[in-house]
Amino acid sequence: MAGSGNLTGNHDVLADIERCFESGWSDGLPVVPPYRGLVDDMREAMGWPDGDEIVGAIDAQRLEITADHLAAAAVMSGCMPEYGRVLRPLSELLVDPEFNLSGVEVTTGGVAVMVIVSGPVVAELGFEHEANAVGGANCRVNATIGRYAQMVRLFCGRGGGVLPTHGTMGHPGRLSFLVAEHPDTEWGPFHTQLGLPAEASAVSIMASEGPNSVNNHYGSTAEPILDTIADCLGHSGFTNYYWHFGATIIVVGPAHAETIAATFSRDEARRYLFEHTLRTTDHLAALGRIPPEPREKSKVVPGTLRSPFDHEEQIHFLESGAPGGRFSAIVPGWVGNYFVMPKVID
Amino acid sequence: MDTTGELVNPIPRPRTGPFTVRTVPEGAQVVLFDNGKPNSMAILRRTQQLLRERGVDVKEDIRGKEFAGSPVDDQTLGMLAQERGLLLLGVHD
Repeated sequence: MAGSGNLTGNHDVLADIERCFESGWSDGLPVVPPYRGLVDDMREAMGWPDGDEIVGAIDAQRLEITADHLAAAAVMSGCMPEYGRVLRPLSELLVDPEFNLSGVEVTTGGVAVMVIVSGPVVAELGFEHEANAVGGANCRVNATIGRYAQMVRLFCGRGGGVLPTHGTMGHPGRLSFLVAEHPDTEWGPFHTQLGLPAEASAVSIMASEGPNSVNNHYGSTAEPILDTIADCLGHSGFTNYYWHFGATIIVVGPAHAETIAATFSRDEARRYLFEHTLRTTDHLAALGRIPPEPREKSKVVPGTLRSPFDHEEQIHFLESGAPGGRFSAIVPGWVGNYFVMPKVID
Repeated sequence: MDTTGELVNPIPRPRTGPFTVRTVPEGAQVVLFDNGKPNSMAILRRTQQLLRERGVDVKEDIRGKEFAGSPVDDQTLGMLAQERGLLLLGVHD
């Protein structure tokens, strides 16, 4: 990728799309060319009057990310100015040094930025939160805001285009990954797990691996469904088994949520998963899932049972998906940052 | 839709002054740096041993960063910049 300065425009949109490709201004798909007028309108909608305002920095790369950079990416991803109230806090999360945007982009883990939207804004902006809610919902607001987050990761996380990414596998979410929660939930809004008030609208982000489907159609009580989720979390290839720091989001489908919530509070369900997602440390080591000289920080204790989680607060529940099937999904977080980061949408 | 005028660059460029990179070591010593990946210290220790068996001077101290996912801090980067030998930075899993 090479940033080559501002391009002078012309009136041929198709030609400008090609010019964006040629300049490395693309995620691999055609973009809306970031014409100055469109970018100015988008930036205003995001609440930044000055295009040169520095919104964030990646000190290790000597990068300063301005309002214009972000507004251009929002235009290119196909967002509408009406999404500005979500894009503003999302942008601030993406450039927060705690999120480690450059690490997210270049890691061997091949992760994406998972965006979670919860609260009244889901209905207000018309996010799809039922059919194919975890991916491929074919809904503009989901697809374009999810794409925007990946574009910011791509455009700003590579040191100005000089760093290669090392993602080993990657996953389709690196093009767009946004999950919206049902406006009405069994356990309360997602963001209440992160300390925000229930009545708020929120956007949250987590660097994540790809989602895994969890199918249980015939378990009629909470325990067998949670056991199935625990089994999916606890497979020996789960990245967090060694590192132990990453967060994970369980996207609970409405049928599973109804069944589980009939007998378990959210905290009880979290505790159940924490206590039932276990393998023997020695077996993991024999498989090669734990290195011969483990780091102290990973708290490897031979001869014990091991959870992929250091503590149960690393597990979060998100209620989304269509009624009908009895599916859930797990989304493993990246092990390089430890948090799901939330922000209120005004 | 306004499709006139400039196209706005979405990619920030590094804002840094000129700097010099030595492409040839000034000293006949190998300096190892641990990037925090699971096996990297084990591999670097083995590298140190093999190089020494072949008569190569390898610095005993292997500096590292606390965690693979985090960037090298400025202080450590400054110390590495003072090294005059061949600097080998980390290994993958």
